[in-house]
Amino acid sequence: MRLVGLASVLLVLAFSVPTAAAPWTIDLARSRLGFTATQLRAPFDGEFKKYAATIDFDPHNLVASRVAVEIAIESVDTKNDERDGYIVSHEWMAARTYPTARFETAGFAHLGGERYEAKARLTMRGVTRDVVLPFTLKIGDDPNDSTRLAARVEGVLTVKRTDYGIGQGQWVATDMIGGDVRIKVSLTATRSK
Amino acid sequence: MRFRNTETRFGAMAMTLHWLVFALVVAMVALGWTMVPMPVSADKLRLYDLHKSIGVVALTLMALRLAWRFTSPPPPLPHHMKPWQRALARASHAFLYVILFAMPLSGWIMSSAANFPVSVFGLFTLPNLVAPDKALLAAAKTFHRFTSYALFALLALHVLGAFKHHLIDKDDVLRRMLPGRGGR
Repeated sequence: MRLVGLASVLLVLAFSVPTAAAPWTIDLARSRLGFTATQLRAPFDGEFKKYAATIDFDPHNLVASRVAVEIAIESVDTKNDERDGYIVSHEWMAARTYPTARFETAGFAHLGGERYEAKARLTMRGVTRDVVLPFTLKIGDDPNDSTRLAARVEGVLTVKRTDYGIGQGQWVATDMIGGDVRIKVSLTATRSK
Repeated sequence: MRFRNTETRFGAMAMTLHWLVFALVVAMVALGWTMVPMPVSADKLRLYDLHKSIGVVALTLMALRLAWRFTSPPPPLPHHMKPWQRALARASHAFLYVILFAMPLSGWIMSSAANFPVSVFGLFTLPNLVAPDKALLAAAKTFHRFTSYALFALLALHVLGAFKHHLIDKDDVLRRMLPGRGGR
């Protein structure tokens, strides 16, 4: 009887621990973490050049999948040094106090075909908020390396900068520096077959 | 008053465009002088926003004026003017046209080179004329500043010339650019 009991406990334990998803390596050369913001009511593009991602993803095991991205705020590039200087300054992203932003998934949903959704926690300027990033995912052979698979993720997430305290004091007003920022994610990650 | 120019005076179209552009130039100079020395603030940006939007309107009006000048040529200069005075009048008018195109165009280039695209009163955004470029931005800034000095000089000459004709020559050069007195 005790043996059956023990075996049952072991069986239950075995099925309740999820199997690991697959680890992927981000290919920075084929990736871009960009955004579109508005200034004086006109849209302009920028990107963050330095970021690191830990990707554990298996489309057949979304429950065990996790993605965490850490972004170096000082790596912002909007093709204008003066503006980049303001972006990292204290009233804006306060990079000296908060040098990184973080995006950590809490769950994935498959919407059908190549469409997915990531529920995540986004932390910017020390403030964490729940966000949802809809994205498309294509997995296929890596054209650069036949021994590897490449995953291409494209997604857009619009955030309100004031939700994160980005733009303090007089900059809370969103007429000249728009409140909405469209974050555009185009990432390529690879793993061995 | 007639819509088109006649042999003796400007018509309503030319007159309206002329004084509208003058009013916009006054506004643009006032905005420029105020906004540039301000430390960065939301109010400074609001003035830049207005300056850029009005600049696009001024550029559009100048294009209309140029097209209209070919459609309805201005009345001839008074008979009493000597050849050098005619040359000076024509040259100063030509330079004013050139400057009034060069200012908004160099401003547009500046905005493009700075990757600060131009929105016209929040209604639509102009395409960037050039890709972001630090050297071009510096050059356009210098050009915009020095061309504004040329504008002041030519404006002064233009106004002094108008008053010279009106008060000293006592001809109708100034009057024919002003409404009233019934046209012919």
